[in-house]
Amino acid sequence: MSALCLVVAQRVPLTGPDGSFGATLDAHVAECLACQAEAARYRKLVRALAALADDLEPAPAGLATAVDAALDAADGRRRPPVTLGRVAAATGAVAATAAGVLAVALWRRARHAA
Amino acid sequence: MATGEVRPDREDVLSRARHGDRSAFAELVREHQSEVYTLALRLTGDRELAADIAQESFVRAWRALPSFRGDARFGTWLHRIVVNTAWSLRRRAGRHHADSIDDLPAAPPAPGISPERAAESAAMRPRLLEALGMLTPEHRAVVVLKDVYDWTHRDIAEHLGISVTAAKVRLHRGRRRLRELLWSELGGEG
Ligand SMILES: [Zn+2]
Repeated sequence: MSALCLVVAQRVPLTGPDGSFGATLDAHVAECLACQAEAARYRKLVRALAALADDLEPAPAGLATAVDAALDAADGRRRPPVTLGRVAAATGAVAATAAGVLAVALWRRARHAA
Repeated sequence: MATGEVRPDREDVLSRARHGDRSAFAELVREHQSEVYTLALRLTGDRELAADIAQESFVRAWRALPSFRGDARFGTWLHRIVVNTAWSLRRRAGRHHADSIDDLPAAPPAPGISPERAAESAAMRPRLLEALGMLTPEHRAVVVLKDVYDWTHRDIAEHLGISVTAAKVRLHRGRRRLRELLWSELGGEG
């Protein structure tokens, strides 16, 4: 392994699929099997990561219902007089958060019971 | 990409939801729940926490919906909320574990790449997810947003509250760690 290999090893994680290392390093990589192999490993890694984008995990059953319940709870408690301004907004936010926490707790219990 | 672009026939649903129609919003939730949950799961590696993040993200989205201007795609806008929510809930939840690779469903091949490469990536997927789960949350978030979701360094920096340089450093370290963890899958000495 030469000094140039060490420079390539340092740069290759952030080099794109067709990325160049600059003229000097490219000339080295063209003749260095170790650096070519290292670049190939990162290309393979980045391809595998990109492939995850097309992969959807099914949402947990009951997510939509839990969101609905959380919004219901928040609606029921968030009715501050409009003239209170920021204080009302802050109070409403606290109430809404409390309602959200309650909904999460109920949903978690339901999920654990299932 | 799973950015959930809103089709023309969905614009009406989005518009109704923006004006406070809860049933229209429920439709958007059903449409985007898998994509929201998947992003949360990729960011955290924890199914329980990802479910909480998904729920909280939709609650936040509902509240923020009147300010959604439609100059971004709804899916993209939603993704940003998920990232912000994940980051704030993560602080509360502390450390997480990665899922067992046994309960991960099989991956369909990604479109647009050769069958050989798709097969290669699919074969690597369980180990890749396991390795992602072994990264620090900071490194994992940057790797996932850059390499899986194709975010720019600038967007990543903005949403994680770090500098662009820090985002690049985390990507560099995260990818290097994955290369170590996946040494044999990536071809090892070959
Ligand atoms: Zn070399």
